[in-house]
Amino acid sequence: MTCEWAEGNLSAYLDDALDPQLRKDVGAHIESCAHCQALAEEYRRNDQLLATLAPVEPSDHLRQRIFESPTFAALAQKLERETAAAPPGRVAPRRAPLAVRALVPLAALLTLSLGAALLFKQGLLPFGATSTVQRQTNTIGGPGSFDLPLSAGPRLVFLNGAALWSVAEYAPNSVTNAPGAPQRLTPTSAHVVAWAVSPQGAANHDGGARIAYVDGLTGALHIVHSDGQADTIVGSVSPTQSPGADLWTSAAGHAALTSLTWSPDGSQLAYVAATADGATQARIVPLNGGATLSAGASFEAPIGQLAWSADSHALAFTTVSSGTTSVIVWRSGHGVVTTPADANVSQATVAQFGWSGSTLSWATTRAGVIVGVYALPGNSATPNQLTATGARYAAADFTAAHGGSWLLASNGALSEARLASGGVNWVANTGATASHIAWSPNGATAALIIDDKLVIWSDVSGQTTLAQGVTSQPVWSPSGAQLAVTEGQNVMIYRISNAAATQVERLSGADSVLALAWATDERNLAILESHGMLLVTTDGVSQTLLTSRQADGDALNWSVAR
Amino acid sequence: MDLTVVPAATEYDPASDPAELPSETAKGRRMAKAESAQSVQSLQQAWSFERIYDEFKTPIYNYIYHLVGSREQADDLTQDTFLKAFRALPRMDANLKLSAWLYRIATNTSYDALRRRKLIAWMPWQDLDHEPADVESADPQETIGTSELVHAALRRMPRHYRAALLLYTQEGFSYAEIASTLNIAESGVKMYLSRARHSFREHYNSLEQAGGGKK
Repeated sequence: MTCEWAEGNLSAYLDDALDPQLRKDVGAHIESCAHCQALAEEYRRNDQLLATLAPVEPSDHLRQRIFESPTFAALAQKLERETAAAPPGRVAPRRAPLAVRALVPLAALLTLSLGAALLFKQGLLPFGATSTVQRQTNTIGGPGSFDLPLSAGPRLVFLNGAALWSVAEYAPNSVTNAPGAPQRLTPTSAHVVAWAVSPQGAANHDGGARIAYVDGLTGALHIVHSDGQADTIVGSVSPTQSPGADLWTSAAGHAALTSLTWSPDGSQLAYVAATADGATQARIVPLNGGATLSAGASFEAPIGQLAWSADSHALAFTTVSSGTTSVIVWRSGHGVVTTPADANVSQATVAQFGWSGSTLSWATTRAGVIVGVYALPGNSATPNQLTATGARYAAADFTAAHGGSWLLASNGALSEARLASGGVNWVANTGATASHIAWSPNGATAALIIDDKLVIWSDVSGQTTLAQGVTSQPVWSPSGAQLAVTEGQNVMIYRISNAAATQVERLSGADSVLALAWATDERNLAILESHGMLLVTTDGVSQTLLTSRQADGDALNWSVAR
Repeated sequence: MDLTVVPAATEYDPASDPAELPSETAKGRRMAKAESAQSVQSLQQAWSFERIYDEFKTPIYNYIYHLVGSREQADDLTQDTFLKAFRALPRMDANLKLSAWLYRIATNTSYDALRRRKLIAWMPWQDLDHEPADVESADPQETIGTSELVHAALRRMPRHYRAALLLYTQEGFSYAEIASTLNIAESGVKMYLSRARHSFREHYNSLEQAGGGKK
């Protein structure tokens, strides 16, 4: 009887799980063998270590998360329905309370077209008028909730369980630059239904980004610092203090929820407020504590597609009435200009706005096809059409570089419409026609999706095919030095230089990718999957599963805390 | 302790449950009387879900936490486990052994998460056949203290052995209960525990030697 034989039976011997004869034999060996005795002792000690590990208590918040989850609400409703259905003739069951957040996707399904006449309610509020909104600062956090301020540095922000969460890109004191754990950014009392992070280089005294959010229970518009401090109510998107499902599922409520738009310098937040009579109005909150400004009159048809000019002095938006889309431009100190989005194509809507200096430009679309490109200089009330009447394009994208330029795809070719020169010029043949165009942030290179290929193009270097079998739209890093795209279960990261890929990383095993978001320092890419969220370093060295829970919606954003 | 759960389709009277009745029962009854007949049942359903949660939240949470090694992920997976259980419970047989069944759901839910964590790995572009590195391994230099060493050793063990060892030492499960929870033969439990103890000892000792246990 060897030690090896005894060791193989030692575990079962300690558990008293051996046949009597075998138990006797193993026992006899252990008695006479110091090595096996020591091993048995060690096994016992290890069992003891495991048995006496201090238990960790789940937080009270976990109970809340479970019993207030949409899944539990749906289950409770289902059980109630089944119970009600079983014995006929009974009264209908009491409805389980529906989380406000469950209404948001519903609201998203609502069509914006109300068919109501576009009514300027002149006189209700003069252009550029101010309305006073009480600012109120909440104290959140405190014992047992969460530690504030959250650590400084870049932070990933996402919505989960109707609360905003924030993850430090680098956990404080981590020697390996590992990310932190998700931390709650909004108070437990808030039910976040819309949110937006202010852009980098924000014009704040401390340089930290701000996060605007709407509490669906109160309709209040909050602004909170990226470190979770100074949560302040700066306005309301709702005419009442306890808006219900009727507001959030209305076209005006939907317009409000999709409206939060920070000015490029981060000094102002534009949003759409639903008014008491069912109309909508664009408002502007200056971060410096000044009075809220209304950008134009209120509109009976809901307004949307808010777009700030680069200098943060002008705001464009649209409203659709009886199938006709109007473009409204509010210029600080100059009032409002209103013009049809496309005078030549009926039912055309705005696909995309672009600003170059004081000139507003936009592309119009109908049935998924780009049908026109227009430019409206700052001193004009009538837009110029850049594309030929009747010309159709499969894809378009605008960059403020080159004095403002649209790249357009049609008939197996790329063409460019520059605001400065007017007209459209052929720039390259692409074989098949691109179905998607994305200029790099500095306008040096464009990423194209042609069939299922990812191609990059620049007027200097021509075209390079990077990948085939691409299953998402490409996402440029803030500097344009990297490009991320999904290829089935792979996330690919290309390092781009002079319109060519110099290095590629492949993350395999990604599943149902919903969104990719670059960290502001470009050292991490956040990947939102249908059942979890990952942070991966772009050098391919490490990845961290931030949560195995899906975020609400598919929005991810990065903020910087100071 | 195994609770017998009465399927939703039958009338469930908490008063007839032989298990201890916490004070919530009285509240549940009072509320039930004020509601319609259907609400009585749904309230009782909700009440029994809450009671299951209160009964098992700590052991299930600990089990998952020790399986996956992260509190944040344990939060997520505990939530998934209970919600999966609640969804399936109305369809389950009245003789269900709730405890073993909950641990089985917790095990599978955690395995799924661990499997995914393994799947996702960076590969060098030129060398796609390479084995992905186990990026989840903890740095031995960062671990200090016995309980940290225990956690680190657990994290390095194959997950099936880890689950068996946790169920035996922490939850006090019998071989038969472990077999049912992990869905393996009872004879397999003996082998699992033997290899688990061997594996835990190896990792624990090597971590200790690496200097983690100085404090």
